Amino acid sequence: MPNPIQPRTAPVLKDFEALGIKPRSAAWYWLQDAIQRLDKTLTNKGEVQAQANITGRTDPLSTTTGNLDATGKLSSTDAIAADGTGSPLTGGKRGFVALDTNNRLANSFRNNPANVSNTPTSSTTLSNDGVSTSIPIAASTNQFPAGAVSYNSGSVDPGAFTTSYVYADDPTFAGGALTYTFSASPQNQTAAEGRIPFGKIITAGGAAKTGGGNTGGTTPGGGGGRGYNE
Amino acid sequence: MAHTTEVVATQTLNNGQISFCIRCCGNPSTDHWHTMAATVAGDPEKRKASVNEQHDFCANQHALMQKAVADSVLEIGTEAMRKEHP
Repeated sequence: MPNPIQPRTAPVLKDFEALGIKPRSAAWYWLQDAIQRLDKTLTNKGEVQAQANITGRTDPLSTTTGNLDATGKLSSTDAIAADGTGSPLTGGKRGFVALDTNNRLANSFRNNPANVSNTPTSSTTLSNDGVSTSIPIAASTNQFPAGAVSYNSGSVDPGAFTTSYVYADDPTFAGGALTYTFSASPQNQTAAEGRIPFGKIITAGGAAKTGGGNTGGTTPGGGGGRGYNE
Repeated sequence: MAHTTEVVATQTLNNGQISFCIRCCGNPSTDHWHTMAATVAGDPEKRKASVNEQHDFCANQHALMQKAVADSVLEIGTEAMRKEHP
């Protein structure tokens, strides 16, 4: 609110002049300066004005203290400033949400899928009829420690009868429709943080084959998922 | 019941593969991504044959899903769905 002292600076100085303070004297200038400083920083209740700022800063005190509560604590961890690229304080709540009281991940869904054990609930998920080179991927569910995630069906077509490692990226364990992809290189199954392997299948012309799931079907070592016994 | 499938989205993957999303009856829950090697996707005849095969798969799967839902509703609470364990 406007300080009611401001309009009275000149009349106040006139009163001091009447008491013997000489105009433009050192005392007169000190009084003028003191009145103007008080006018800018204090309200008529003696409170510091919200728009006043601390020396060396341009932000008003209302901004400087805006994120503090009545006890002087930060009102939210979102008010912690970032201090450079990769700052751990950016979005301060992320750490608090992800960790439990033992400073461990609250659950494995807080981890990256590439690191999380999971078991397909179906015995096989990949198939090939030996006539077409397409590999249908049946709709399936993978059991993770934090819960089951269901995935839509899909398919891949390598264009030839060959060994194919099938995988898809689901970085947030969302489930649903995934874009499955395939590779002849096993290492691509772990080439991304959000990657979930759906197994291997070795296809051959003239013979129906299966793979993936929790058994691998006709493909030795062809199971999907990670970290369980087939 | 007749089913209609259509390609509703495509993706070019960073390993040279291309993927089509096939959807049945306009229902997003039926979305089925079919990924093809460049040797398949780059040949119109091979691509058409490859995608058509998955159109059939997607429609058939939707039909089976609808039948399963209808049958399960009828079976809940029936004698056939009860089992004694002496």
